[in-house]
Formats: sequence, structure tokens, C-alpha cells
Amino acid sequence: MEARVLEMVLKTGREAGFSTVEAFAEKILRQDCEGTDQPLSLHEVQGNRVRVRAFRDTGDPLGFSLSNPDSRLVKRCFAELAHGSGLDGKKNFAQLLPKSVAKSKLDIYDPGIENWDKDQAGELRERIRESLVTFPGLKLKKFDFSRVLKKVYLANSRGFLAKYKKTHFQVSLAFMFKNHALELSESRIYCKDFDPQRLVARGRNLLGALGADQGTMDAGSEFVIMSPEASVQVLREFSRNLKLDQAGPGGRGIAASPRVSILDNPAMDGQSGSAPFDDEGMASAEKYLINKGVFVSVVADIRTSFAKGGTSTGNGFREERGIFPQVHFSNLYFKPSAVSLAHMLSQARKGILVYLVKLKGYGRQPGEYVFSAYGYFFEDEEISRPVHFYFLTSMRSYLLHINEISRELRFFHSRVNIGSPYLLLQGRCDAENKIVI
Amino acid sequence: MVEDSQSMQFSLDSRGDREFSMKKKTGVLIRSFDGSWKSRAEETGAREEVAKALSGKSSGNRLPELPPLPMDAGAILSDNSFLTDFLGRLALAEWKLQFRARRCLRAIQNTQRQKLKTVFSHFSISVAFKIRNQTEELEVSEGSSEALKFNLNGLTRRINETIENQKNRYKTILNREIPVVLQAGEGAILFHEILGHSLEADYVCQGVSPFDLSDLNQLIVPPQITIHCRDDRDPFFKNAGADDEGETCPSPLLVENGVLRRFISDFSYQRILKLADRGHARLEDFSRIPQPRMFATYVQPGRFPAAEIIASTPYGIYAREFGDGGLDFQSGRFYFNIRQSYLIEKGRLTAPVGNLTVSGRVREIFNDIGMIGDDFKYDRGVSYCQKNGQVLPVRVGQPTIKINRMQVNGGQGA
Repeated sequence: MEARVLEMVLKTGREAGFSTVEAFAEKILRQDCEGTDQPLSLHEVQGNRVRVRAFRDTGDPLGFSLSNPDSRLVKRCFAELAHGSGLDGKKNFAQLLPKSVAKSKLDIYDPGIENWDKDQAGELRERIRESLVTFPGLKLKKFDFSRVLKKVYLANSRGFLAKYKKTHFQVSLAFMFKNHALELSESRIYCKDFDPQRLVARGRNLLGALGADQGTMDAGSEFVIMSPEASVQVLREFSRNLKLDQAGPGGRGIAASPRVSILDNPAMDGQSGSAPFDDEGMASAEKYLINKGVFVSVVADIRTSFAKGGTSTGNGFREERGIFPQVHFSNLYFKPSAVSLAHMLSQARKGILVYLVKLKGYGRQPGEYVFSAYGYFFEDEEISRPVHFYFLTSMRSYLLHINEISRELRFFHSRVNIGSPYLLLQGRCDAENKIVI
Repeated sequence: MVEDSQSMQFSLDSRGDREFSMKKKTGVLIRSFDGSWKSRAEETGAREEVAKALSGKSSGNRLPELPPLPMDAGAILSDNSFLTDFLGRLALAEWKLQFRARRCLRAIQNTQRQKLKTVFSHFSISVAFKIRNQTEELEVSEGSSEALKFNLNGLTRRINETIENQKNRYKTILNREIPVVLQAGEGAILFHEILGHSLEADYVCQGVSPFDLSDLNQLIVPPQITIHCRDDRDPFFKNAGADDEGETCPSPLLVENGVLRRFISDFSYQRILKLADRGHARLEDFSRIPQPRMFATYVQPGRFPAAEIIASTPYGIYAREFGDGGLDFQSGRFYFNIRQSYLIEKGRLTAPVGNLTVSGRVREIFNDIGMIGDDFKYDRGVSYCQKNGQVLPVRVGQPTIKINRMQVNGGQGA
């Protein structure tokens, strides 16, 4: 059915005078369940959208996006594009669109989604509520559960035609403890992978840390262990430097400790950023962006690599509202090592274990960031009181000061799926009680 | 609810890259309430399908045609050639000009109210640019609900000012509490962010807002402050008289002489919190769930001339162009970026200063409001608000306002 629609789009585009046409169709079934104390509400969405990118012999591509289109509407849109877009004699990148893609067996579909009903969300909410009893005073203030079945079809007039389907489950919770509120969410490909006890414990840990007053630290060196969640927040802020459309020339200023490797890998089983090919049809493959401390490459889509030189890394993805693909990470992560968190705690002996990080502002020098951090002091492998502090760092300095990386890789999805193990860093406490890394 | 929307986006940049795209989205949202909501949204495509979905079997219930949007990039370019020529002459490191147009028609029908239709159109232009040898991206933008026509002279003047200010920034680092004077117009985005979101019924219900039900009809801010959430003289939402549940808020008063008159609510939270009214359910498009959201925030004028407000400030900041901001319910604090500002010294605007961040505690900041000007202005029509992933255009307006004490951070090192 969808293949026929895509063929119709390609054919109509060619008839309208476009030399190359790309059609991307997405059928989405999304169900959101929401409710804290009340009965769960259910919101179901059936999306059916076709997004088209059309090229003439020269000039930049033009595009449109339609809901569940018929041939009449498609014809009208191509006519409007052909009429209204103005002329531009520049060479374009249509010839770089792929003609085919190798088949891949990627595990990103939960067949259990077919038998899903609203009661399963209710059951998850009950299990979360049951887990709350282990933490007196902790209250659930928001429960939101969504499941998405997405079917993607991509075709272009150079002969490419492929499809895949993918599931995505997400639970978003708001907890309250004393006067502090916290929202957190987790995403999974398989619904059964949610662990209510772990979710509640994560909420309690974070809220416990949030209650801390700004701590006083001894001047001098300080060990900081970033939890996977905290580390992901920091990497999220720095990650723009690893995208071709935003990075400086040649990855200027990127370097890291030899223990650091950062990868982008759309071919990981069970991860929400995975896909067998990107939204331009480029096959997915693991790629090192930083390898053992050495900057290797940045991620790119076809358009940006054509404009700036280089080749696409298969990172052209369309945003929910976008018509044209943009440079996007798939699964971006720090490569884990074989070291455990326990080993890291004993190695550092004394320091701060950070659970939550928020960008607070920018430093005095270009590229410097100020983060607000919440965590717990630790000493001799024992976690003690909560602490709140600020730290100042730049991407280069942060990556250079990573002394150790643990083996516990965890991913957090918020627009981009980013993963990290625990990181051990060494900073220095300055006169303003701020840690400089 | 049935929605038929069109949008157009056209951009061109200093490298000669162009991007032209359009979007047509049509669909239906059907909801029922029986203690909890059950809703289904479907992207239907053809308008005939929509009409069918709306009226059950018959196709008699037709949606009116949406007036076409400007879709001719050549014509847009020629209408704005003055601006492209101007940008070309500036010898900037790079620039990107972007035009956006959106028109959305919603037909709402429910078992309690009559059928009604709302139409909202929004047109905007934005110019993003970088000055040579600088990394910071600057932006000047303007919007309208009328047409894809803008005050190009005004835009070029603002671009010139932004460049001059950026080049001549006073080298200072601020990290202290000082008076901040908010320029009339855009400055009200602070009130939208700080007060508006705090009064949204879902946050009140979750207990995360610094306000609760006991604040209703109580003095929550100083008595010189009156805030309206509707203004019939403002053309911005003129054809969107009802919210996305078909309801209109019965009164424009949100805060009257410092007293809280209502929370921002939709149908669900009105029931849960037993509020007197609603009329603030908004959604980005038919596939989303309506949430309690602000349409507009108008801080009513006071009695001081703007010049007197500035003259009364021995040292402070005059905030002109506003960037992103946010409210952190976890800490009860807000922050806001000020993209363009001036130092006030001895009651006069002196030097431009770099990017600043202002911050403070939500409930405390209003007690520090010192003077409210008599020069009410609407914003430039490009204020947006994001909540739970839904981005909506909002409208704000205010006169010049002086806040006696605000934490100001940022600036640029010497």
C-alpha cells in the first residue's frame, strides 16, 4: 500500500519536471496514557504523513509534507513547488542519494505491541506506586506512558525502496519529596524492560540530592564521579561540536584523555536511536567520533557533507515537524571499559558522586559552561550526605580530565538517545567554592 | 475538533543556499470524557474525509476553504529585495533569512456548546547572522497575524543597532543584584514565563507551582500590577476567539490590582480543582492533547513616563531584546536571557552590554517591581512558548517596567 503511494509520488514528481524525487512516509500509531490518581486517560493518534524532497537538475531541493495524500493533492503540491520556488543554478546533491541499502537485522521492534492494552499501563502505574512504599515521603505526582509503533518507508527515483518498523515505549514520571519536585522519563524498545523499582529508586536518589544546600569543599583537587545520567546531560550540551553542521573546521579544539572514545551507532539492538538506514537511505554503521582521545570525525547528512566537503555518515534524520533531513545523532555514547563503579570509588577514595546536572550558564571564555550539580559526598566507598555545587568546564577540558570510565553503560533518551557509563574526573576547587574541570 | 492547516517556510542564506517547503496537515480529534479522557486523533488527508469524520456519515458539514498562503518564493524574494541587498552590503561572516507563514483552521463541535470555528494565521521573518571574527549568532525577527509583510526599514535599523551594540559592547562582567528596566513590549515574556506558567492549573494540581488554590482572590503581587489574558483591541488572536475546547474565558482579568482572579485552566483541571472557569486549553495541532496554556499576557500600564523610570535609576540594566527563558519548579527559580541590553548610569542609557542572564525566585520577584510605565506596547509578534513538547505562538505586551532588584549575570570580559 505505502509502496504504491511512494511510487505515485515519485512518478508525479517526475511528470512535474523534477529530475530526482525522494519520498519518506511514516505511519505512526501512538497511544498515551496519563493520570496520577484518577483513572487513566487514553489518547490515541494515527499519523500518516508523506514528506517529499524534490530536485531539479540544478538548485537546492524543494519539499512538501502532506497528511495521507491522494494523487490530486500530490500533483497540486508539485505544481505549486514548480511554480513558486524561483530558480537557482547551483549544482545539487541529488546524485548522492543512495540507490539501494544492504538488508540488516536490527532488533528494534517489540512484537508484544500488537497485544497491548490500556491495562498494561495501569499495571505499570500500580507497580510504581507499590515501589513508593520503600521510600517514605516520596509521592508520585504525574504518570504518563506512551507507546509508539512507527512504520517507515523510504523511496527515491534513483531506485531506492526500503522500509522498517520500530517500537518505542516511554514512561514519564513526576515525583515529589518534601518540597522538591522532579520529572524523569525512560524510553525502551521493549515494554517489558521497564523496571518500576529502579525508576522509583532513581527518582528518590535524584530528589535526595536535590535537597542539598550548596556544599563547602576544601580548596584543591577534588574527584568527581559523574553518574551515567549526569554525564549524559553534559555530553548533550557538548554534542553540537560533534555535528558537521555546527562544528568548527576540522573538529577544532576537540581532544580527550586516551581513555575516552565516543561513538555514534545507529546499528545497536534495542536502542531507541537505532534504524537500519537514515532518512536519506544511508546504511547505518558504527562510527568513532573520538577514538582513544583522538578526534576522528563528526556526524553528517548528505546535504551538509556536500556543502562542507566529506561524505555522509548516515546521520540524516527528519525531526517530527521537519520536511528535510537534518544532521542528527542516532545513539551517541561513551565507550564503556571493564572497570566497575566500586573500583572507581575505591580508586578515588574521597570525592563527590554526581547524579544530576543542569546547565546554569556560560563561563567567561568562549566554549566554557557553568553547570549546577547535585550529588553525594563519598569517602572510603561509603556514600554520605548530599551536596550541591557548581562546576566550570569546557568540552576539551572536560574530556581531557576523564581519568576512568566504568563498564555500566546506560542510555537516556530526550530527543537524542545518549549513553554513558560512570566517569571519574579530577577537578580543582577554586576560591569561589566552584569546581573547575 | 477538525483541523486544516497549511504552512510555508522559505529561507536563503549568504552562501546562496535556499530551502523552500510547504506543509498541509489535515485531521480530526475526537474526545470523550467519562471520568477520564478517551481521545483519538487521525491524520485524514483529504478535506472530504475530514468532513466525513466530523459529521459521521454525511458529508454536508464542510470546512470552509483556507485562504491560500503566499507560496511564491520568487515573489517573496522580490518583495524583500531591499533587505537581501542590505544584508549583502553589510559584509557579515554569514547570514540566513527565513520567512514562515502558517494558517490553521479549527472547527470545534461538542455536546455542550454550539459549533464554532477559529482561524489563526501567523507570518514571521527572522534574520540570523554572525559578525566577522565572532562566533556568537545574533538574531532579529518580527511577526504578524495579518500578512507576510514586514517593516523592512525597522528591521534594517534593528540589525544595524544589533551589530553596533555587539561591536561596541562595554567590557564588564556582572554578577550582582541590580535594578533592571524592561523595555515596553517584549519584556512581558518574563511575566508570561514566571507568572503565567505558575498559574497553569496542571502545575497547581501537581503541587509543583509556587501558587496553590488558597491564593485565589488573594494578593499575590503588589497592588499596582494588573495583568490581562485577553485584549479585544489586539488583532493577534482576533479570529481565534475560543480555546481548543471551544471555550472562551469569561473575563480578561488574570491579576487585578495584585489579586489573583483565576488560574489558567482547561476542562479537565477545571473539574479536578473545581475552578469557576476555563478557556485556556491549547494544543499545537489536532494530534496533541490540549493542556492549560496562556494565549496572551498583557501587563497593564501604570503612571510613569518611560524616561522618568530610566532617570530614576542611578545604576542598572535596560533590557531590550529577550532570548530564551525558563522556570524551574524544582528550585522555584526562573532565568531569562537578555540578548541585548544597555547599562543605565546616573539615569541615562550609556553603553551596550553583552549577553546577560537575569534570574530570581518566582514569588519574590514581583515584590521588587518598582515603577510601571504609561507606554504600553505589544511584542513584535514572535513570542513562542514550549510546554511538554508543544510549541505555540503567544502574545505579550507591557509598558516599561522597573524591577528594583534582580540577579544579573553575564557580560563580556575585558
